[in-house]
Amino acid sequence: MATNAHSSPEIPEHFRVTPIEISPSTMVQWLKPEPISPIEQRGMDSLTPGDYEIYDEKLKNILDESREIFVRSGVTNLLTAGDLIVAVYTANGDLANASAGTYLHCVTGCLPVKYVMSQYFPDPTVGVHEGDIFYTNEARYGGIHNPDQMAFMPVFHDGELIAWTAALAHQPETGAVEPGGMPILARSRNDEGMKLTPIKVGENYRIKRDLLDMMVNFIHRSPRMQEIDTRARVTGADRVRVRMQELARAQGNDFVRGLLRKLVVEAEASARQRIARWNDGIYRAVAFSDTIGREPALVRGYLTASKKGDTIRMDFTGTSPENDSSYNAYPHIAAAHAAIYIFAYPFHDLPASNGTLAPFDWEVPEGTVLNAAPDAAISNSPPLCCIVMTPATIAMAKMMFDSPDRDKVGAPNGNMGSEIVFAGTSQYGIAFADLDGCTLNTEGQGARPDMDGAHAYGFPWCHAGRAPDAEFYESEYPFLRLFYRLKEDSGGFGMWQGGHGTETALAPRHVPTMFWSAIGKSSNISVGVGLFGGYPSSASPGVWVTNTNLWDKMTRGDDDVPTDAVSVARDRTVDGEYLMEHLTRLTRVGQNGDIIVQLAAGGGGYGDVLERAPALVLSDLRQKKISEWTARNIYQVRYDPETLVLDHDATRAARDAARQERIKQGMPWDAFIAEWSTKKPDADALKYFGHWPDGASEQTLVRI
Amino acid sequence: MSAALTERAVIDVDIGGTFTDCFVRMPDGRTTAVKTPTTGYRLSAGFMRGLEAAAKDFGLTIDGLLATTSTIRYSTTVAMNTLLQRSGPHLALITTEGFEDVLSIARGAAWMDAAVTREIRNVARITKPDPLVSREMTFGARERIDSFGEVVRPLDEEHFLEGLRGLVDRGARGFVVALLFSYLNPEHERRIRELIEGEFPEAYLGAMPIMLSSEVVPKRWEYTRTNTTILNAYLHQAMWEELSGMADELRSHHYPRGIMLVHNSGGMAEVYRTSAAATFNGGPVAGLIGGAAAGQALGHPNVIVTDMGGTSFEVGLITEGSTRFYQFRPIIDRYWVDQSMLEVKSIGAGGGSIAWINEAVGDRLEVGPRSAGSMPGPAALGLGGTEPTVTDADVVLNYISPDHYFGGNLKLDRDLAAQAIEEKIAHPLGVSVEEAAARIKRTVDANMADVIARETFLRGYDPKDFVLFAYGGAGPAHCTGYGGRLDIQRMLVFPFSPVFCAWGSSTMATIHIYEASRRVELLQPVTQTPTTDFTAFNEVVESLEEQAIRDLRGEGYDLDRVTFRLELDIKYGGQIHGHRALSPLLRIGSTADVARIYDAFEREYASFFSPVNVFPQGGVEINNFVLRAELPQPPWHLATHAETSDDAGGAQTATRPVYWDAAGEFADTPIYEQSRLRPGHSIEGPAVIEAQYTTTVLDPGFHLTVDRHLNLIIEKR
Amino acid sequence: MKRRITEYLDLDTATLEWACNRCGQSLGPAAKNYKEGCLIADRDPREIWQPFIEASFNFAYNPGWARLVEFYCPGCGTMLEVEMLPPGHPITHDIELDLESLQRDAGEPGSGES
Repeated sequence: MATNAHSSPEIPEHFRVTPIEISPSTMVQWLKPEPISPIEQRGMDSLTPGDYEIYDEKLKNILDESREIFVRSGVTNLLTAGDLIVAVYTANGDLANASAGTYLHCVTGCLPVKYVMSQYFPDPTVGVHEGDIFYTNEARYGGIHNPDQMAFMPVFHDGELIAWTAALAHQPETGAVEPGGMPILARSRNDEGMKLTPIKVGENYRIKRDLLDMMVNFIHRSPRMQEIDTRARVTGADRVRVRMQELARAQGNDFVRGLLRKLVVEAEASARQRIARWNDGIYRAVAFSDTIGREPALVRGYLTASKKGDTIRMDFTGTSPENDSSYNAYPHIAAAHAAIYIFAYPFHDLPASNGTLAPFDWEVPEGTVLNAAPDAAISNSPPLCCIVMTPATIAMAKMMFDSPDRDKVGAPNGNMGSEIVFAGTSQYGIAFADLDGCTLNTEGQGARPDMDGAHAYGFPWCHAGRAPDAEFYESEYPFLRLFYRLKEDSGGFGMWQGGHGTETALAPRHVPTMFWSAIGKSSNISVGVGLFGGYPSSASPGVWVTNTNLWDKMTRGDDDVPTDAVSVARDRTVDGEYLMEHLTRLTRVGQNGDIIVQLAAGGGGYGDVLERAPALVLSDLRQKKISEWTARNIYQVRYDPETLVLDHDATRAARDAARQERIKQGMPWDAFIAEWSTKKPDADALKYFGHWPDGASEQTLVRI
Repeated sequence: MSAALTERAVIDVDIGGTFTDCFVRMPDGRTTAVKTPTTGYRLSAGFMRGLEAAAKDFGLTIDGLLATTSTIRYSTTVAMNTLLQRSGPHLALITTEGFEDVLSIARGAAWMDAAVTREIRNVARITKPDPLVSREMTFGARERIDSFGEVVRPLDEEHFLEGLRGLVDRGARGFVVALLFSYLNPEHERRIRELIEGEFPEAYLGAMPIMLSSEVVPKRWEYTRTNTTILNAYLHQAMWEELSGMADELRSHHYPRGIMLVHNSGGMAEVYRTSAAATFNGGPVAGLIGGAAAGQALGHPNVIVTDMGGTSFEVGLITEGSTRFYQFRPIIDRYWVDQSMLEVKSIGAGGGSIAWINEAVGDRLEVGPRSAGSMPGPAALGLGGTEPTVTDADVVLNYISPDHYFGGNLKLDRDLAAQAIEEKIAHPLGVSVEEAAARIKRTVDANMADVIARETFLRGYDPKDFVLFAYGGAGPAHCTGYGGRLDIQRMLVFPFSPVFCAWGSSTMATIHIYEASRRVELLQPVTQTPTTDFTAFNEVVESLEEQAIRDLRGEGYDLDRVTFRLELDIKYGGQIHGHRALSPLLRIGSTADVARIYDAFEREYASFFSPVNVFPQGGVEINNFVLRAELPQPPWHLATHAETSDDAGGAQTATRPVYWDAAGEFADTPIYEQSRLRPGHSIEGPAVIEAQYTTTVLDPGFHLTVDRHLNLIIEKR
Repeated sequence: MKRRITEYLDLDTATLEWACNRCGQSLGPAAKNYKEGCLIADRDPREIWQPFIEASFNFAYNPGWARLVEFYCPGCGTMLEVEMLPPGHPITHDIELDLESLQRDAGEPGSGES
């Protein structure tokens, strides 16, 4: 693996990148901001009061404009969904500011820029020159997975390199062993399709035709999308480049250097100031995913977050070992998934800069699923990294509660990642491949200390994504949607309830068959959990009914066509073959009239269910958000079933009795542990867990 | 209602959040502009007060003015917000079974709708807008229609009637019916209306509106269609009451005619031909249309219109004379709707915007988006405001004279302004009050410049190539600030700038819009063969035209003067983003016609997006038809006056020290009275020009000339 | 001085003891896991969510993979925390405060501050 030897004195300080041993395991170190160079200090000193805030605002507008241009120039759905970033960096790769649909790339964008400055800037066979266009999608050098493609360009003015710009977006096709860019059956990097280390794809502001042809050739399932969206990325990065040059022309290179560096420095100072006011200590949290894609499996994410003074050490020791599925990751990917939460909750008001993340140290042991070998398949690192998102949320909530930042506390969101993927020939005779954004973008939000979580709040990986309407999908694709609703009882129960997730069912129509698969988890165990006594969301099994009489029933006007997942699976009023599975379902052929059910998780609850205001419980009942069973058995609310009028006394009595029952049934620690430690999960759960219960690696992994 | 009669007076009123603006033009060409504080409790009170003041300017009583008035045009920025206080009828919503949560799901992240960036980032505190109708008042009918308009499941009438009884038991006094794909096949919605009508005696029904989404807004995509139908149902009653109350009051002053309402689509129509959703944000759109009209009259095809009021700063663009930019995501209050609204971008930067120190991010000075509103308003108003605002900074810097504000009717206290700035900004930053005030102005000017730049760039233009119109109460005071930062060479302040939006509505044409969603293939995928099914296209346009003709004839319009304009939402197969293009034809009869329509679309598309994305091989489909029936604009003109010399000395009323950023200090500066300026006068900056409702600030490096229309033309030296 | 560490967990910086915020019940020394001072129950997920069907994949979680471990205050029965853990999985010591620095900040006697 290459090492970087470029702390050589010939390279001016403001171009230098901290030397590291370069490997997927170590890239995360480049997340730390570079030291302030003298020339940048001079630039910072030259900023007059007011300049900084005025030009930061101007930068934001530049980035928003460029992002809009980027979105308009591209074709993939995910651009509208917001899975993208447009950013500006210092000359040595620190992120000054970004217009980000997803915060993931605030982390991963820096690394390829630093890689180029470290490896190629001083290399005469490559170099960095005005008009160069670089491109990459190799996650080993800083991405999340290879669907994420990034165009990045140096900004020169008066012959000096003063900044870098980038535009990155997820593209759902990589030429891998399965269509869609996230092959569930991939066993090593060799199965995952196109992976470009950072390469120069253009000079003099023009993309080179031969390199574009090469990319398009890799992505032969969607060549047009590759061609157009590559250009779109370059257009986005280039727009920022143009504006930065205008800024330099008007204000000077020193000014630009000073402004960018100051943004990073201020971000770090602000983040440290906030962290310093939380209680020092060690905060631990654990989360469990129940799938590695191709089969259900228990995989643990373990976080020990040590906060001292103004730094936080995020140690993932205890995380399950890597495996030969595509559900693996690297430390910078883990950090990026923590960043989704960090930039949205504790530091929502601080710049989208790596300066904000500077107080964090990342410790991810090699050989774990979060620090896999370089030959690992990692295309499904995002679904895997729910085991980072949940513990990061829990640990930092516990840091912040006893501080002025309690208003930033929330229970974890669903963090499940739920979509049906479909492909085939449409009712118009056109080939199609797409995913159902209806569940993807409508997980429930975790509850807050003073209010419920928002229902169907969004997509936990990218808060900005929107779910299209049912009419949109049916107008494009050959299926009918049986229902699309909030799933009753899905928000985690608690004093404050998690927001509900959604449920839906698709029935292929107008065509004889349609390929489909589904992504999801939290069928056997929930990755999302509650906070301070709040429960997780309800479970999400996969349901599939085939060889049905659905259309006959509907044509006849039968009164028992199912309207939600439970009634599909429990009442079975539709004739057919029923299959209950884990929510992740590998590709299969769907027949006309099949019923394909998919669920999206609710958010975690907050606080003890017995403290939920009975009026809220009854309101939820009236609004059909919870069942009577839940109102009675979980919330212990008593009411007149006809009028839904609260019986105060009976409720109080029931809740008192429930508390007494807890005291009666609960065991003191020693007795509990004695019994508890004799238990073990089902054998089929532990295949990829590692040694029970410490998670140490038990097998040598061989990837072909 | 017949077209405007030029021998009569016309009255235009724009009710904003802080001020009610009135513009009146008499038959002899005299005009007047009046600003009065908006009376939130009953909008008509402020309106009548404004009319009284305007009448007085002409030496008339209200009755006297109204006797000579042919037209009253009304736009409101506040009515929608006021009306959204949930005082309308208790509505029930009928959806397709299985889709009762459409308003709660709200396409997921509805907490982003209408939020500013700061709010969007704070995910810990998000809230989604409350569904306009609760789940309890929502009933799912057993029925289903598919994307071809075919009935998949017939309507279960018995089940519906049971549900109806439940809704009524729970207090339903109005019904909105929004079923899936009803815009393609309305039969189930119509049958539901029949069933409801069958259940209730006629006497009740008068008070129980039944609105079908297939009639109110027959457009695709159920979330926005449902929201729009409900908003219209909800506000219809309240809006009707407010406006008929106003009509009654006008009638009591012997004004017998109706009121025309400004629509956010860029035209206007009678009250009863107006849906509530169409009136939202009408004021700023009137300003945009007025800007286009003034631009055309003065020979400026590219104009940036800027309106800086008490709470917000609005930017609109006119490119090559056209205002055809629609809002990509039209939102009313917090509800995403399907309404063709012209785009006017708004940010929280007004005279009342509060300056504050952001301690979380290194003690940065920020301005807005919070506003002191009209209560308590700027600290200088002495109504108890302790937070420093942009107006307070303008007072401390001596741009605004405390005795001259609002023609002397609102006394300002400079010491209060200075105190607020000292406490909240100067002291924490360790600078003088004047320096702090200068920074406040600099910051807000920069923020406004940024938004202008961004909006212009996004449309593929450069602000440098535009003329800028400055209006609103605070626009003229800041335009050299924000315009200057963009290298804009020429800026105009109009004599009626303080009431520009009201003036703008006087230039608006009567326009009725008719929309329908229909998927019509233009070019086949792969082969790109143009369609030969001309009927599909023609049928839709024909039916829209028929509706238009019926309405216009019913209102007594001369159909010979009506022009139709057709816009089409078209997209390439396999792509998400379509684009609204102007159709060169209203009917197609040949593949050459189809090609013409496609070519027109491709040109617009390539220019708005990129030529690289043009992809006819994917197939080309029309998804929405938008027909505009337009009557000619009422005649209007800018009054002209005789030229005099360039010596403005006679208009100077005072000298006072005013702060200028370029110098970094106060300097004795000439103060002029705008009403004494005459065509031909020329003034070098620095200077301050005071008028009754506004102040124009002329920075050093700029100079000002007065044209024949008494417009102030500001140009960079 | 009492600090409110979580919704239900107070810490007395003088005695360095955990206490239930609702009833004041002591939950043991803050140097240890507060869970050691709680009453604990291992609950089958099917007690919280109805499975609705008999099948290995149903609408409740799989009790062979997931249990709810609930921590109650022995004084008032309030549920202070709940973990979803595989059966037998070690209990998380989720909050281990730096008591010395807390005492210092509170100016407590014996904290090293005068």
